[in-house]
Amino acid sequence: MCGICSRRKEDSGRPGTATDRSDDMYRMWNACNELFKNRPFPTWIKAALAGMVLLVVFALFWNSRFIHAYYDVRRFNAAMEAGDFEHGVAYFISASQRVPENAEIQAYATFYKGLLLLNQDKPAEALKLIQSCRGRIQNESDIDDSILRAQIAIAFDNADYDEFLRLSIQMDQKYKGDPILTGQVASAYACKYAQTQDDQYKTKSMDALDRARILTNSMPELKEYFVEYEQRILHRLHTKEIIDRNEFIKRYPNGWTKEGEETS
Amino acid sequence: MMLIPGQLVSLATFPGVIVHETAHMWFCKLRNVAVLDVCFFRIGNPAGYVVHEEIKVFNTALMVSLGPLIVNSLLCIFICFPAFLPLRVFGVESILSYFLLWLGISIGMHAFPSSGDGYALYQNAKKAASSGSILAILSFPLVLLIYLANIGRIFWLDYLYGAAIGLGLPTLLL
Repeated sequence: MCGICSRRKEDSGRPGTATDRSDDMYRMWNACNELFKNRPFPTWIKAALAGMVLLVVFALFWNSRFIHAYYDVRRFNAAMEAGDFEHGVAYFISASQRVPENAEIQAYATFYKGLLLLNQDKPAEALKLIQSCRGRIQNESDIDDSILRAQIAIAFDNADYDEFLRLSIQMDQKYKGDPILTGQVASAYACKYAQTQDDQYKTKSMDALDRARILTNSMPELKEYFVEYEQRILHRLHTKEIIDRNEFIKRYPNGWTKEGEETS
Repeated sequence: MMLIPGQLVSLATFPGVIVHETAHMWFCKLRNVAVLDVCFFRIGNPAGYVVHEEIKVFNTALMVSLGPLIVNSLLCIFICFPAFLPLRVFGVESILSYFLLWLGISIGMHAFPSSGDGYALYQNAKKAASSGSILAILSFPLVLLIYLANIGRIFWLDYLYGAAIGLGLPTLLL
């Protein structure tokens, strides 16, 4: 008897022989055997599988902006690691535009854009953007510092050297040991000297510059930038003329020294 | 009809049951094993089954038993991926993403071979091991793992597995 169709060989009238197994459970006609070995998947299973594949393809297409945004964020990280802040910010802004629903990404994009403007000497525009991030990103101290940086730059641009000095001292006291911040205090005193010709400011500026120079010994990576910064401050003290970095580089592309006016 | 929790879970995750049985059947077809009866889903215990002829070759028995582990796991990853970035990375919720997550994890949590699959594999492994099959000997710990995984279902291990491969794996890879 076939274990599948329950018919005896002689009853079935069909070709095929029973398997040679003695176990009736697995005794089946070849025809039955073929049928069950080639049992097709029901149509609804095939349709469901096709539907599932289509759904995933559709979802990948529908959510492709997240994939692009993810790669933008990765490119942002790579650019930041390489020190390419400008391109990094562009990638982050692109990510924020692709995912406008994410408030945190929007806030960081605004913040980075603010920092970029600050680096591009547009402190007033930067300040507005950075201030708008307050309460929207996790690290409030980053915002505080950036606001202070912007305010310092605005004070310098407005020739408000008292404010420039006050804020520079505040920043230097917050981050003791940073030669650039100490140099900034020297710069502010130099501005006051250029403005008032009061020698006490020149002395204070030179003192701050000495402290900053010593601090660079522990931060050799800042040495190159500091040398240029120092020249600008010394130029200010010597000429009593206040010019910004861009103007200084334009006038003295090979640097400036008191002895040679311009180094070769 | 009174539904017990296991049946409720099967009902809530029915795509996984269907894929599990489909995977068994698919591997039977791949290995030329006659499928005598199949139920892709029902409200009952078991929620689905595939009755096939006795398998004489151990490798075939191993593949048929582990078919759902492979198929369900891969489908879980495949389906959850489009939902992973919006939900986990960007925190953007949508019906589509949650649907994909439900579908993917439902399928992933039925990846474990059942105790019945484990028992069938054990019987085949015993026979094959007595004739010196190394693969059969190596599969005994696997049988133990299958039983442990089924016990772990009480503690939602199947759900954790689905979530781990659907959402955890992309987190590690990306």
